[in-house]
Amino acid sequence: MIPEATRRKPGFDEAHSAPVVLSDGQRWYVPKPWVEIRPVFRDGQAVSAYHVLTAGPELDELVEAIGEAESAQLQVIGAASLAAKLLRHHYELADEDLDQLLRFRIGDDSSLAWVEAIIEIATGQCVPKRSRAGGA
Amino acid sequence: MRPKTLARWRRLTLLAQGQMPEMVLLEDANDLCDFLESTGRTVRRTAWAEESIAAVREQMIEGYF
Repeated sequence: MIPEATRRKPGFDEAHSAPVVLSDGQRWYVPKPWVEIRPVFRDGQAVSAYHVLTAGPELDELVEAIGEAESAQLQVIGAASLAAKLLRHHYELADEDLDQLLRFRIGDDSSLAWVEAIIEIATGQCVPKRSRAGGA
Repeated sequence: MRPKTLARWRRLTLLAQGQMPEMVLLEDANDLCDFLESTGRTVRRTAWAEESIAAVREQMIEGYF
């Protein structure tokens, strides 16, 4: 088993993350997405003001791909891709680590639970909430 | 013309409120937009965002059958 805490990247931000129990039975944290309302400019160019996960086309495409998947297998692959993106924002994880963490077993409620949790977090529906506007 | 997406509707709705932080959690942005929409303080997303308009049309067509 991979010890969750040992893989955290510098700048790991639990306060603006949501816990998800993955297929290894451990609680991992994925970043909650932020919406950039106004661009911040540096030297005449719009830049990201914070080191946070920003909701945008890349996340939207992954979420859309899950919604448009024509089979349960494709939906799971889509959800796993989304989960991998979110997890790698917070953790140093190789592909073989993700293989362990994002296993899906048909008919297993815990597998379904992580898929649903990942989609909810990526689309800003996660609970419980920590409401704090203004950046990380 | 830029596409009338749900993401743009959300951003424009929040911008129209005046003083807003540069960044806000997506979950808070969604809740705020729901609040503004249900109190009639923004354009309904189903009347502006092309994805929502398409979804409503699809539901209506399904309703016929």
